[in-house]
Amino acid sequence: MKRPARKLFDLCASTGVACVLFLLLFVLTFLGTVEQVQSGLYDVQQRYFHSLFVVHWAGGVVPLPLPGAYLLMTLLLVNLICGGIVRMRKDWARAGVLVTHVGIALLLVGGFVRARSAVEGHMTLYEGERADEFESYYEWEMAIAEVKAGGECTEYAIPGAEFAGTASGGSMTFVREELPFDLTVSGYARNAVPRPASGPMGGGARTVDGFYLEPLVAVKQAEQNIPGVYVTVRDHKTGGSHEAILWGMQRCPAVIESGGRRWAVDLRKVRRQLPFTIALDKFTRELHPRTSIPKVFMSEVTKIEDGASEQARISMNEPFRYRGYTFYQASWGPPNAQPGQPLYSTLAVVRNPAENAPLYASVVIVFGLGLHFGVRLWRHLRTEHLPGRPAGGAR
Amino acid sequence: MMRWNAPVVALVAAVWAAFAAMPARAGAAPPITWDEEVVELFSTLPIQSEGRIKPLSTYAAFKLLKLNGRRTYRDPEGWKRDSMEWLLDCLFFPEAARDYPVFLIENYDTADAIGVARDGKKKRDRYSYAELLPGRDRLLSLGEQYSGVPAKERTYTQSQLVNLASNLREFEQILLYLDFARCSYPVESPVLPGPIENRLSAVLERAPVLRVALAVLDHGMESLGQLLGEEEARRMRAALPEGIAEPDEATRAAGREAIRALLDEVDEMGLRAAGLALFPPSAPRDVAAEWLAPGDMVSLAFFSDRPIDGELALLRDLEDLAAARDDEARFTECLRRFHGGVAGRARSRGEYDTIRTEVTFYKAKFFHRSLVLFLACFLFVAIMWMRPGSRALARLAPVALLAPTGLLLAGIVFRCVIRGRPPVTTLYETILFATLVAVSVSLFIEFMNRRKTAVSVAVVLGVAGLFLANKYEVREGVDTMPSMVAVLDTNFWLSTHVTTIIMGYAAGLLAAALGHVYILGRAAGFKRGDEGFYDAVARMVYGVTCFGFLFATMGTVLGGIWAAQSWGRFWGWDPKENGALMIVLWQAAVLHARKGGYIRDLGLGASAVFGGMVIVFSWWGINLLGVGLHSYGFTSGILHSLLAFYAIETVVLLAAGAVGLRMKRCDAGVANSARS
Repeated sequence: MKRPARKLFDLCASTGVACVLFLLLFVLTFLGTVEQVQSGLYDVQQRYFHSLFVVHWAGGVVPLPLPGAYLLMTLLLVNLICGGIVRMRKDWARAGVLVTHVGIALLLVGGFVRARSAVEGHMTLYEGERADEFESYYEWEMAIAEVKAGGECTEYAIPGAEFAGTASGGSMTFVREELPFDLTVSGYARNAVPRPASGPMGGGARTVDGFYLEPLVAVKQAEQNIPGVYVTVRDHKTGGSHEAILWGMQRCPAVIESGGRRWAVDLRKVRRQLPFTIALDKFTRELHPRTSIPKVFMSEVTKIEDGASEQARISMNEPFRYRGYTFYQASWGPPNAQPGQPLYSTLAVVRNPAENAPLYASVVIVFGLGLHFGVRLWRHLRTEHLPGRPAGGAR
Repeated sequence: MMRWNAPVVALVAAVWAAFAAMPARAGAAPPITWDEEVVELFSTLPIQSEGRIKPLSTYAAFKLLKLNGRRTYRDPEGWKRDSMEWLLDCLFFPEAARDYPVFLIENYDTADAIGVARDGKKKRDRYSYAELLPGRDRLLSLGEQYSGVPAKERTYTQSQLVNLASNLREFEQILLYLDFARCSYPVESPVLPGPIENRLSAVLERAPVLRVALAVLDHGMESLGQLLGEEEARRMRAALPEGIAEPDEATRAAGREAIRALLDEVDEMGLRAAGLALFPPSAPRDVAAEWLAPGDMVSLAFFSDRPIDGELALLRDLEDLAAARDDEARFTECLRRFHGGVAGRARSRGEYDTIRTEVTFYKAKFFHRSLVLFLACFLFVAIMWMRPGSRALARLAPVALLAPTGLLLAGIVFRCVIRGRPPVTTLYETILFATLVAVSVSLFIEFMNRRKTAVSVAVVLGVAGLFLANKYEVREGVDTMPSMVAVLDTNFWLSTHVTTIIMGYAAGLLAAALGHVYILGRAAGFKRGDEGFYDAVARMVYGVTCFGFLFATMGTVLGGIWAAQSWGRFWGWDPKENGALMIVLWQAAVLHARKGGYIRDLGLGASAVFGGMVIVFSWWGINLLGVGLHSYGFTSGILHSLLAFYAIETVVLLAAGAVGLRMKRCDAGVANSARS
């Protein structure tokens, strides 16, 4: 009788389990790919590939529960370490496979580190503009800032994920010792637009200052969804309350007076600070002659830090890296710009502690596979051509 | 021999006599054949089109391919003509080219929708411009209307109408192109700042004076100083005709009318001559990248201060050429001058280096000839299987296959040289390269094991690959060497990621083909009892799957690194990335299942067939989804072909299931009889 621990190890190291995991990941990848036509990339990424479990609706009606990619890859990593590295016989014939497995493990670990630690967003600049922060593509937050004389400002932020649950009803109240009021959030909508209550659809909706929030169907391009939410501020001292609608595209924040102080409350995309400043000196957009096919997009930027500046060029396939941040040429606009109209450049900004892991892992994997199949081919050819063997030879 | 040789010789002589009797250039009638030198000079004339400099012959070939579905056509007399001659007829003899049936219409509904008579036409037939003319306005209106409908939602006839309207407009651009050289301009008025020669280039030369004259007529002579500065104004005053200096109202009105009439005519001709950018700018390439059409010169002459004297000299040469169309000797002489001017300037800008190579490439018809030789090899291999005892045939077959493979390789190398790029940069090139890899690996296997299986599969894949490439080229009808979008403009990643992933595709498809041999051979009872044959096929499937797995994995990982370079992330679950991952996952599952003993030879063969389906999904199916960052690879219009492929492959997999059941029953039967 095997001990339970041994049994568990054998199961984890099993080739059969590896096959099942490969097939499940294969099915998940296929379904997630096809689903992107309906739901868009971001939604599918979150539901199928950045999750432990997912329910796929086959044909839109039949629920099909599946493990998510996080779970499958975790199990695959365990299987790989147990069966493909620890238990594997260490001899020259299997050296290539062993090296390949180490490379794949490195790739998976790099993926996990990125998923947990990487931050990404973008900065959009016209020529002559500069910025020392970048904005997330998808993440929203509620920012509460005290407005003081002289432009001084203290900000508190509530991540969007904390109040997104109010979309299905109910409310959430946020309390902070430093604030002289409680803030209650309700009626979150991932994509919404404020409308005048006097309009044809305004009857029955919750109205604030003559407006209500109309939820819209979320669009596939997730970054184009503009959320909205109702907030109620209750003053600790007076007990008085004030209601407001916050919408992602509103031009200025809601201003609240509480405890004799003025506060601005804003719904905005998450902003992250850079430890240096980037200025856009020049943006070049070139098309192939007499076509609308893009040939070159290039941003000439200056990195400014502690008074020292350094110039760099960022174009497709040629990012700029500095202090763990990488800047990529992502897009430009306005989309229908007329000749001579100023253009802006959008730079994608990524900070990924495991940025180089895929490269190192790739080298290891390719070396391992090359070694393994090279050895196999050599042995096969030798066997095929041994004197006295029939054509085709025995294995 | 003599009995049948005589009539053949007589027939050939009669055809030759008829051919020779036809006037090469008779009056305004279209020439039956263009002089060889003329065709050669036009073929090697450079033109800027779709963002690159290419020979005019390439431009002509793809234009005709788009309209006509092939690079040749039959003129009303039934003579087969090539695309260069067609373009020359369109440019220089538009009155004849109107009657050439070069518009391919796929169904009656399209013709009926625009109200075109289709008496005597087949369902899929070719129409001339003259035949389409009664329905022209309706066609353009419907084309515009349906182009607003998303491509995926258009009916077949709507798509046909959109394409036909686009083809008609492109044809008209060519047909009307040289109207500027045939037109008579109203330059005789005495109030014009003249004399002006009756040709566009002369009018454009006088454009600054005409502009000033119009300003003087509108605002008076005193406006000139403010407009141009005193010195330039003094110079211009001298160039203006007498009456304009102190015009009375009648002179003013007549002058305005004369100039406006001239400018209207010039404007109209400029619009007609906006299509073919045949004129390299005098300035260096980094200063002025865009070549000019006469229409551009009109805009530059009247609306900019950029000097275009050098371009106007070439325009004069083209005008002379157009005027000399009925005088063969003079036409050739003018053409030599025009060609020399354009090619010389292109050469000085470093834009003529690959023109002759490209003309040679298309003339050599590498891929067409390779396909013909593959078909011949197919017959050879069929004979080889019919004479199983012949060792000579078996030895000769892979050697024979080297010829079409060599042609295919040569064609790909030519394309690399012309483009200065690695072998795979477009979907079309993926087919060529995958075919080359699959055939080469097959030949390698054949030379190793001499079992006749790999060489047979190589022939089938060679024919299928080149047939598909040809179909794809005809269907798309656009230049297969297009300008690269910014994200693809990197030879390093194109030569590493793209090349390796296509090698992975090719190997996977080869494994699938070998899987078919295993399954269908077993199902049909081929080589029954010869287990050595099936063992060998299974070993080939395994070996090629390993090869494919190696390259698919390398390609996928390299793609991730490229994505990290250009998009900022290694992996984004984009559909094209997922397609590559699915191939890797499937092949990993198959190799592990074989190692674990979960599948045996038949299972391996069936897995390889299914792997082929996965590869086709990744290669083509995903392009139909129309989502993701790999938008440069989107495709449409191949859904039915894909569905047919999947239906056939499903039948093969069902056959594999049936074979498995039969083998199980046989094994059980053998075990029972052994027990009894």
